[in-house]
Amino acid sequence: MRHFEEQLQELLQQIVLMGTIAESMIQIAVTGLVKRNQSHAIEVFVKEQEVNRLQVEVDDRAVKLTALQQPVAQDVRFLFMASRIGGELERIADQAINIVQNSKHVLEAPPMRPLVELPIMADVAQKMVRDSLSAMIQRDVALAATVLEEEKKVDAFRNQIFSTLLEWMKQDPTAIERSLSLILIARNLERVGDHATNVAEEVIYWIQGRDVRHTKGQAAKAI
Amino acid sequence: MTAAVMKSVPPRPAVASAPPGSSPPDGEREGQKSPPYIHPELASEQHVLHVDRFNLFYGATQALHDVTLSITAGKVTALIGPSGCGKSTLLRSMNRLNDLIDGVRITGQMSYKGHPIYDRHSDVIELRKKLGMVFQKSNPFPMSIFENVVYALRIAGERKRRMLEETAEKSLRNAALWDEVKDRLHTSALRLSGGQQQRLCIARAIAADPEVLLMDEPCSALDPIATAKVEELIHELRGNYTVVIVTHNMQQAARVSDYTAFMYLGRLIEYGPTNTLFVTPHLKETEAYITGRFG
Repeated sequence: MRHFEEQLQELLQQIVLMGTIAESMIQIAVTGLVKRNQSHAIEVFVKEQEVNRLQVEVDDRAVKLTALQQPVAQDVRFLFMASRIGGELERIADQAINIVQNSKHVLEAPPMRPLVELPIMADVAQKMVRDSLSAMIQRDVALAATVLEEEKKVDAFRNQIFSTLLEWMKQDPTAIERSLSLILIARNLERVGDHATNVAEEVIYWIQGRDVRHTKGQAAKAI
Repeated sequence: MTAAVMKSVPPRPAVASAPPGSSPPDGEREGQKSPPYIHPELASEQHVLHVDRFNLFYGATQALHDVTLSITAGKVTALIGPSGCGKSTLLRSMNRLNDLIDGVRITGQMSYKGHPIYDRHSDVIELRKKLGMVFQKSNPFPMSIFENVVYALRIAGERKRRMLEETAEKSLRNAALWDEVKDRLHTSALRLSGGQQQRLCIARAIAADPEVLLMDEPCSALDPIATAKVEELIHELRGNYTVVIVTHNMQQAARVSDYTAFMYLGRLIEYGPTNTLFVTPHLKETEAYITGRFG
């Protein structure tokens, strides 16, 4: 393998590592909320530092490889993608932090009725992150396209959770503060789905050279 | 991410294992003789030079196979491909320099502005005046800078001093050399630096008032600064001249050309806008070559 290809492979592995950490942060944050246990919150904050460090490293490598290797075709697309995906994964990690912070209000108050949809929504959002990264590793455009489809599911969950919580707030004004926090958490998970969608779009661009952003999924359907 | 996903990292992950990979692409294409991919953007351009099912043989060896392409007026077209792919042969065929080589045989057509280049009645000298050539190694004549530039006019019988001076200045200015040599026009051209000599050769080609400039690796013997000057010159020449450039340096092709034709084993493989060919090439063979995953 050429030295340049080895460097590209190292960069790919670094992005995968970054994504793995970001996804585990969502997992930890949501589990803490569902199990009403915030003892792992500190782990999320520590991991965020690692993701931030990796983002800087990914950008630095991408810029240096662009300058030194003068890449073309799939290589230049990969390096641009690497930098942009780094940004998306860093924001996914930020959403995990937000979930932990928003969970605080919920956990400080007595438990409400269990919110069934939220853990399912979290599963879907996490799977989107996993699938977008798998699509990148396996160069699987079809898998990336399924991530774009999943975004609608996450949006539907958000709407459903919003209306459920609205009902609860109407019925019990003492639940307003907790419900608002849960609405924010649903919003955080929706953003995770958005970022995973962006990752999948970048992967399609890298592999096929087609820019499917801002096409409302129409371009991806053509795959 | 789960362990399952991590495990799915292939031994040579995406970037490295991707098609075109490192395998040579020639077998499949050579066997199938697939037609070249011509990007649709070329169809709307105005073309001055047409190559139509052109074959060229050096004795028993076929150097060009059924090449069909059109060169766009006023634009820079780069011919790229590995050594021996026929790009220089194709370039030299455009102004019939290959006529000078024994045993060369051609079939097919080439035309310039509708006139067949290989017609037995075509005037080869006139053709070469319209399609000037700049070679890989600068080849100034052992005479003064001034005489080098006006050489074509002299052999055409031009004797008016003023005309010669005006042409010399205009050509040297167009070749971005005037400011560097205006005070020593009558010193030997051989005393110029390599980069200056190459620009002098471009000035000499321009002085003959060509419409097309054929450049065969014009910067391969130059340092980066001289290369940058010649590339800047090529950039400035577009519009006024149609330029066809053969280069081994793909970054140079990417920097200076509007269109790029990728050739391999004497065939045209892919031809299209440079900014598409170098970012999203259509064929795997092109991708393999330009990314260096070739052979």
